[in-house]
Amino acid sequence: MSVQRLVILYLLVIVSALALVYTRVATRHNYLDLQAHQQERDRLNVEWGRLLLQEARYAEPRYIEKRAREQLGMRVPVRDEMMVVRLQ
Amino acid sequence: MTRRLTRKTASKTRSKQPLTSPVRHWLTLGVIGSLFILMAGRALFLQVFNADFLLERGNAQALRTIEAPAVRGMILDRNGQPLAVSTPVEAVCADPSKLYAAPESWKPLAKALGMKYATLKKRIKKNKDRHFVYLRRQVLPEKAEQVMALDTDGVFLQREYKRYYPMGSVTGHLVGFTNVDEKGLEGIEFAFDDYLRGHPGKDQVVRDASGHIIEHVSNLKRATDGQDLVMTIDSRIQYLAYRELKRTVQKNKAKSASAIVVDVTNGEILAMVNEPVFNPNDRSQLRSSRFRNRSVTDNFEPGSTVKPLTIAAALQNNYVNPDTVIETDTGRMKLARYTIKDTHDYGDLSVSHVIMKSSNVGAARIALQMDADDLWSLLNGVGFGRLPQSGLPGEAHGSLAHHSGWRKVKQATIGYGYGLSVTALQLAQAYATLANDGVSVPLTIIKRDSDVSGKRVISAKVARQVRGMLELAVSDKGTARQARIPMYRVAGKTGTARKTEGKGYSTKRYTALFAGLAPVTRPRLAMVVVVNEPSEGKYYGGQVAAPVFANVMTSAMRLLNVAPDDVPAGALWVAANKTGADK
Repeated sequence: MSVQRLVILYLLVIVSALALVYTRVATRHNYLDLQAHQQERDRLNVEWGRLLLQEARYAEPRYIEKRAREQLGMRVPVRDEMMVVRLQ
Repeated sequence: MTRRLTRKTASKTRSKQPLTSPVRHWLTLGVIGSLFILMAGRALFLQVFNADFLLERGNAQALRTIEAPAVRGMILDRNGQPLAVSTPVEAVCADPSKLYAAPESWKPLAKALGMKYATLKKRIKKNKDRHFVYLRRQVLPEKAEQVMALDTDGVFLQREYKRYYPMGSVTGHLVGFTNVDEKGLEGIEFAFDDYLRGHPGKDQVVRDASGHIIEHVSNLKRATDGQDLVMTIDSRIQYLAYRELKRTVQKNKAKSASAIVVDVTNGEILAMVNEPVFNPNDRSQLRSSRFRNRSVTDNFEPGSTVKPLTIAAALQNNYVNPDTVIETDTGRMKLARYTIKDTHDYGDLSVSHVIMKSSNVGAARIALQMDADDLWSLLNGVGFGRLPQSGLPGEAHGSLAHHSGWRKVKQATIGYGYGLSVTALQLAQAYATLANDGVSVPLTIIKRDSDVSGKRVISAKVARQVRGMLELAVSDKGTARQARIPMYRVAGKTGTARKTEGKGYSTKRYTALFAGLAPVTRPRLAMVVVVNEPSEGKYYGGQVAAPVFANVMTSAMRLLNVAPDDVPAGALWVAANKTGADK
């Protein structure tokens, strides 16, 4: 084998070794990124769950009825107060 | 030492000779060189010949398989309101062997966890030889942060989920609940556990000495979240039924009660409530007597509510027509050793009036005119004695003996609702069939992708005739005046069934029933109300159960935007169509 070839092979080995180190570092970095994003996702999930429950609480008929009766003084109309509008 | 040094300096000043001899030079070089070769050899040995073994050992120390959590699906009502939601929480776990070595960290830890110090101490001591123990489960994320801020060695978090039920006790019996590991134990959570459940995945990771994940190696199994399930329940109507049923049970000091609202056009159950209730969010309330879904599990004798079905069978097979006169004698009828009684002496009644007045004698006479087969086929056809298969767990099929074993007495008593038993759900299905012009659509609690076709069990003409009779029952002369609602025509039948006691029937314990439908012109909803053992004096179905029907239906009609079919002339305003007015 000629010296020239040996040198080329040697250089290639060095390059691939450096590339390996580089990708390892990049992997770690990306994995950290991924973890950060996963944490963000979890945090948003927690918040979404909380908002969902909050919405459900506000949409609960019992709650709406209480507010309507007590705060707004509303009531269900009696028969004589109802009017049916029929379109022709 | 000092002497040698002085001698060296002395010789340096004396001659220009090299400091070291050639022997010494080569010796040093040889030693260093051989050390290098030894090291290279060792490296070669480790990296090439022994690599696999060492890699394995290294991985065994740092490589871990962890569980990737999956979320359980939500349960929603027909309008997308959540009925069961999983929200992420944390389980605070510990390696007790590490924690045992640091007793000074226990006190702040107990405080942050909201646990008694003694309890924590006991738990650590008991498990000191283990490597995993739950300190506290279902901890809110913020609280878990506080615990982790202490930075105690050997304490770590594990993601888990907590199930919340926003409607609480209102949908308790239907939705059911899960255990702490999110496995469904009751209700829909139990029946559709496989569908709702998430399947955790597996990830291979590298951990450093302090347990942090530093590298994600591979994904062994993908985590799949559970699917969301849409129920047919309308939480607004569900709440109405819940409120009204609770009020009735309290007012009449009843033992238990059930109410069901069904959309008759597609068999969807819009509401189903029972008393007593339980709150699925509060685990201390979980007692089996409370969380039974009585609407589907409990049988009762349906009493007078069966009469319209008896008459439907008689009309269907041309034994009678609505105006045929039935003699009810003096309100008493002797049959073998038994006497069938009415509350009043009604004399001669037309078939329609048998329903209106709820005459036992009349219904028995009509039942006896038929072949047993004809009556049995209709009752079986509307679902008595068969499982409704609505999707709810624990359904009972009631009892309806085959007609081949009927004797005269049995046939007569079945005609007015004794000697057979049904669940509230089966009764609702029967009335939904009457309301749906005689076509029986299978009931469901889970929203279907497409409507299913029903099976005709009563002719449309007969169904309409029977509905007309049921409307008479809520008239001023009928037994169910309190079932009426403004703006809509309703129809229904009361029942006041004596409960069995020992060998006979009780004179004190009753089941008050009402089964009805609205609006009569184009029925949309059917509803059944069952009140078990009211004990405040009133016990007639018309007094106890019918008002629940009226109060729920009034609002349900409005909520579902059903066009009124009984508008008094004074309350009708015929407006010109907007596009028409523009012209």
